[in-house]
Amino acid sequence: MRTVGLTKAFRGLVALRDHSIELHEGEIVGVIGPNGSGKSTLFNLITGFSQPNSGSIEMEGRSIVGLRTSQIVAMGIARTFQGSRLFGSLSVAQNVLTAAQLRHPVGSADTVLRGRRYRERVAATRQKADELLDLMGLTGQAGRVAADLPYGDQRRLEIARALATGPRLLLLDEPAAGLDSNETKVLAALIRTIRDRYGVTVVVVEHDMDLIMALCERIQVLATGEVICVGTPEQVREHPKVREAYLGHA
Amino acid sequence: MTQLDYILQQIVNAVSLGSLYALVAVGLSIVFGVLKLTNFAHGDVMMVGAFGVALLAGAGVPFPVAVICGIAAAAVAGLLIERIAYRPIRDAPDVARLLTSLAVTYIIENVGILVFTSSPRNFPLPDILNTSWEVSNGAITFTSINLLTIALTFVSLLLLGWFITRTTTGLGMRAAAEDMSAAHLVGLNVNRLIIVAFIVASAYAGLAGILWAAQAGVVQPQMGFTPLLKAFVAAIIGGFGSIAGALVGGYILGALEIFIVAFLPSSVSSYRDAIVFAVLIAFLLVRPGGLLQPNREIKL
Repeated sequence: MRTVGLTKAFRGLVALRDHSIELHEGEIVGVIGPNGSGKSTLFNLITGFSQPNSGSIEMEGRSIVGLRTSQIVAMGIARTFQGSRLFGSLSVAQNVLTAAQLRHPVGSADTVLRGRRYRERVAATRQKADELLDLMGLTGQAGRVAADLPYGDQRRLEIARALATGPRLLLLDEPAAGLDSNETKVLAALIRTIRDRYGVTVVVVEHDMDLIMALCERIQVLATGEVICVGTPEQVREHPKVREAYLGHA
Repeated sequence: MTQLDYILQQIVNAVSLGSLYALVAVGLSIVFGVLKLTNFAHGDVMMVGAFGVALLAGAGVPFPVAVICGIAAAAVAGLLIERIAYRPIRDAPDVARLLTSLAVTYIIENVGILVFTSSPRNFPLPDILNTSWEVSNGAITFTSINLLTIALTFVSLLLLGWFITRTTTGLGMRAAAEDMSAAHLVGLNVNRLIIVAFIVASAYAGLAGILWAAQAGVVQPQMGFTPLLKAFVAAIIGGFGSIAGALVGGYILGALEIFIVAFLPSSVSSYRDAIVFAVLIAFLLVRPGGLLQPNREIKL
C-alpha cells in the first residue's frame, strides 16, 4: 500500500498535508506524533471514513480513494479504533464470527436451505474464529458478552475481529492505550506473532514510545499534519526535529 | 362466575392484547435498531397487510392463502418505503428523517382513503376463527382468534429469536444496530442488512395488522395509528431499540390496559389511556432508558 501527496483539511484547518508513505509487505511501521498531528486522520482516509482533498491511496496498484469502507475492507485493509468499538452486546465469539463471515459469505437462500455449501462455510467461519480467539488468549472467554470483558481483553478482541476479515494490511490505532507496561510487552509480542503467522503488514499509530520503539522496523513521525521524518527507531530517536516536536525545544 | 374465573378471563385477554402490542413493537425496534429511525409508517404497513387479506379473502381467495399474501404485501410495502423514502435521506439529520417518516404515514393513509374511503369495511373472518370457546361452564370464554393470536405471536417470536441469534444475517443486524461504522469496518453489507431489517419488521407488522383487524372485525385506512402509538409506548417501556424490551413492554402494556378496565371502577377506567400515559411518564422518570436498558438515554 502507498499514499502519495495525501491532504485533508477540515474547514480550512489542515489535518494532514502532503502525506506519502510506501509500505513493504510484512513490515511493521509505526506512525507517531503529538495529539492532532494527523495520525487518526490518516487511518480515516485509508479506510474510507473520510475522503482526501487531494492525493492518492493505492492498494496493490489499485486506487482505493472513493471506495466504500466495506469495499476497502474486502480488498484486505482492516483497522482497530482508538478506544473500544466492539459489538458490546454480542458475545466474544460472535464479534469475531461477524467479521469472519466476510471471507466465507452465506446468502439468505443458503441460510434457509442449509445445504452443504452453507455447512462448509459456517464451519470455515467458526474455525477461523476459534483460531484467532486461541491466538489472542480469549478462548476461555468465548461465550462472554464482549462489554463485560476486562479492558485489556477487549483490546485484544478488537484485534482478533480485525484479523478475522482476512487483511493483508492491519492498521492499529493506539493499541496500547490504557494498558500497563506488562500488558504492552505482551501486546508487542502478539503483534509480531500476527505478522509472522499471517504475513500481514502492520501500521501502528501510537503515543506509547516504548511500544513503537520495541516493535517497529520503520517509524514515520508526524507533527501538525506534516511528515517530519522517517527512519529506523534509532534514527528517529536522534532526529532533532522529533525532539523538538515532542519536547517543545531543540 | 367466581372471582378466580374472572381473573383468569382477564389474563387471557391481557395476553392476547399484549401479543399484538409485542408484535408491532418488535418491528419498531428492529428498524430503530439498525437505522436509529422511529418509523411512524410501521402502522400503515399493518394496514397494508390487513387490507390485503380483506380484499383477497373478500374476492374468494382461501383465507390462509390470503394471510400469506397479506404478510408478503406488507413486506413489499416496507421494502418500498425504505427504498423510496428512507434510503435517500439515510445520512440526513434525525429531525429530517423523523419528519419524513411522518410524511410517509400521511401519504399512505390518504392514498388509502382516496382508494378505499375512510369508512370501515368488513374483515371476512372464516367461521372457524369466530367460534367461542367456553371453559369452566362458561365462566371463561375466548374466541379462536384470541388463541390464534397468542399462538402465532409465540411461534413468530421464537422464529425471530432464532433469526437474530443463530443466523449470520441476524448477528450482522445486531452488530450494525450496535455500531454502524464498526459494522462497515468488519465488511458487513450494511445496505443488505437494512433491507432485511425492513422486510422482517414489515412482515411482522403485516401479521399484527391482520390479527388486529381480525379481532376488530373491520379494516380502515387509518387503523394503524392506534396500535402504532401503543406499540411505541410498549417499546419505550421495554427500552427502545431492544427487541426483548419491545416484547416485555408489549405484554406489560397489554396487561396494564386490561387490568385497568377490569379491576378499577368505570368512573376511573374510562380514563384508561390517560392512566397508561401517566404511568409511562412516571416510569420514564425512574428508568429513562426503559426496563432492559437502564443506563441508556432514549434519543428519538
